[in-house]
Amino acid sequence: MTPAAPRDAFDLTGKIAAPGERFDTVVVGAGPAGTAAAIDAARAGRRVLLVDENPVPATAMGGDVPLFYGGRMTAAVQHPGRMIETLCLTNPDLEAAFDAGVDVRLGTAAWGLYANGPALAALPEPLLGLADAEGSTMVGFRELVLATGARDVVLGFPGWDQPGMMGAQGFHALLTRYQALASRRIVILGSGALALETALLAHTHGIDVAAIVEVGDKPAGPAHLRDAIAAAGLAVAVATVVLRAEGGIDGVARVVLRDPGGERIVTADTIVLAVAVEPATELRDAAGALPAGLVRLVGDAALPGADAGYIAAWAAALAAVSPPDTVVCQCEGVTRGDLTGVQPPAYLDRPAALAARSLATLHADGPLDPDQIKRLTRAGMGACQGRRCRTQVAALLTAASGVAVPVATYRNPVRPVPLGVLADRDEPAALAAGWDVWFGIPTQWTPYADIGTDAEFASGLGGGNRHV
Amino acid sequence: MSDRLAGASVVVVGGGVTGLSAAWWLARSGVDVVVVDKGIVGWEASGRNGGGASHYQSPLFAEEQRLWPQLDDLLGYPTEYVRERIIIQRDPALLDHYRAVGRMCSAMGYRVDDLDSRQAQAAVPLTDATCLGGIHLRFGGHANPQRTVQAYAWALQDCGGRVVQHCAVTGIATAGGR
Repeated sequence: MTPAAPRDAFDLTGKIAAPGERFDTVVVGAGPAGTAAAIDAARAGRRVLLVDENPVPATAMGGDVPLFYGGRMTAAVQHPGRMIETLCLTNPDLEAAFDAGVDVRLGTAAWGLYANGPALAALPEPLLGLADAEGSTMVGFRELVLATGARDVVLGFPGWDQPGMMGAQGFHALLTRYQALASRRIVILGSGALALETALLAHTHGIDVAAIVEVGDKPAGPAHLRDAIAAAGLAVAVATVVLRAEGGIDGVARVVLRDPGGERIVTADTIVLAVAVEPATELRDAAGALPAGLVRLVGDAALPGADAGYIAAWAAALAAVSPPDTVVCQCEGVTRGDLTGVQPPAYLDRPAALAARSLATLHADGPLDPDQIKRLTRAGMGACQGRRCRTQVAALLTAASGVAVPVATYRNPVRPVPLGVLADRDEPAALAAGWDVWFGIPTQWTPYADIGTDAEFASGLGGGNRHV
Repeated sequence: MSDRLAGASVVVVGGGVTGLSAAWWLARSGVDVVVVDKGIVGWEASGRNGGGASHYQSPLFAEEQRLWPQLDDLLGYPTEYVRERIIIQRDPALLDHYRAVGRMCSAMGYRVDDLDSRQAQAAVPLTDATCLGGIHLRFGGHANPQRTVQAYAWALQDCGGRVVQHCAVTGIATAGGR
């Protein structure tokens, strides 16, 4: 019989702490779908945790977390108590969830999902990382329900990187969920159901709709919504494209449009991007291969992906009338020209050999890989993790290369979490002892020339953590 | 793809920093070489590490210290190499530990300066008085690992070598003893 291989002293298996709390079902997202799923599970006798990152701190909202709010929040978002009260008032089902025995935690973001799989075997069980303003914790679960909703697909043009540029989901959340929208007069981009419903919502709330812009030759939305728009005295401006947003210290003040008749300037304090939404599934997507049945999507998170054709038409129309130095990735300041040219971030010099590199030379190496382009250009690598730009990045790369380039992958943490919150203050000693050690090789950090000599033991530094 | 795979004198399986640097050294000496990777260059450990260039324990340490400062020029592409390293500590036992590492490197002829708390705070402004001190390596440094790997790949191509991404090697066939 073959003797068992000696166990690596720094193997992580068995050293990662079991979660402090376990639930039968954890639901992420306390919108209508998530709240209903939590209530159903609780009434079936399960132990249920329902978390929602809202209300997020006002500073995070300023950074467009979790939705593209574009800085058009009123001062109401600065008041945490008022925000929680508003959330409860605008979702009456939360009270039913409390009554059903659901453990409801607002202001708690899920930032990472981990489960053993092909590349990970050390976890005691599947874990979900949660963080509130105070700290971070891991919880265990038998089933995870993602009711994380949908987010706006964002497309850029000159001037989009200023306050007043927001997404339809952000608009909807500020207006109806938080009742904290500062916009008075808006331009809506897109004419599908999402855009027309956004226009009607704004109209109902007394917000001026200065224009509904469609790059195509006819409105994209269904007839009943087009009729409702007309009844409200609104119209879709077809064959029209946004040239730029102009503004000042407070952000967007004017929007310059072009149609076959020429250019015109529309006064507005906000531009609402309502071209498309996509399901917010980054928690699942960043986790890699997962055991069957562990994660279930409900509500908008379970919707099919956005209409790639409509997004591509918009991206192409905007790119056709904007200069290559138009910003695509706000976090890292990457321009469209640098993205499609696979050029490095601005802080690096560009020797001639580098400037000669392009999407075409990269394509000659094999199928275009969005993660390689992300690493080379930094587009999508910033604090927002590409939530604002990765769909646009994929559309632009697809248009520039002529082949379908998928979206880049997400990485944990899928939400910006302050290191002071994320820090593991209870790290087990067995983990701390091995954080920078490979396999416990005794001579790993011994100067090579000293191995086998008396000097090998002279330093008295046996063990690990000598990496410099 | 078959054109790019045909007729190489040397096939390197794996586009990490080891495979690509080996291929680049071969190609700049005129060897016909192709690097094949099942994903992209530097997708795994070569693209996700601390980018350290201060491996005093390595048999290649002296060569590492000689090459890194000229690597951007040798390759023709930026690696984001930055000279020197500073290690600071808030734990007295770990500070003693790194001070001993510093003495060991100094004994090898590579200068390491001890930093007291005030010096460490001046060198690393985001820390505070809880930082007890540290060491300042006057050798070595760090680079961007993904950019370094890509620089090797591009430099390899500039020497006539080839890179084939998203192409898994499934086996090695031999004929006539080769």
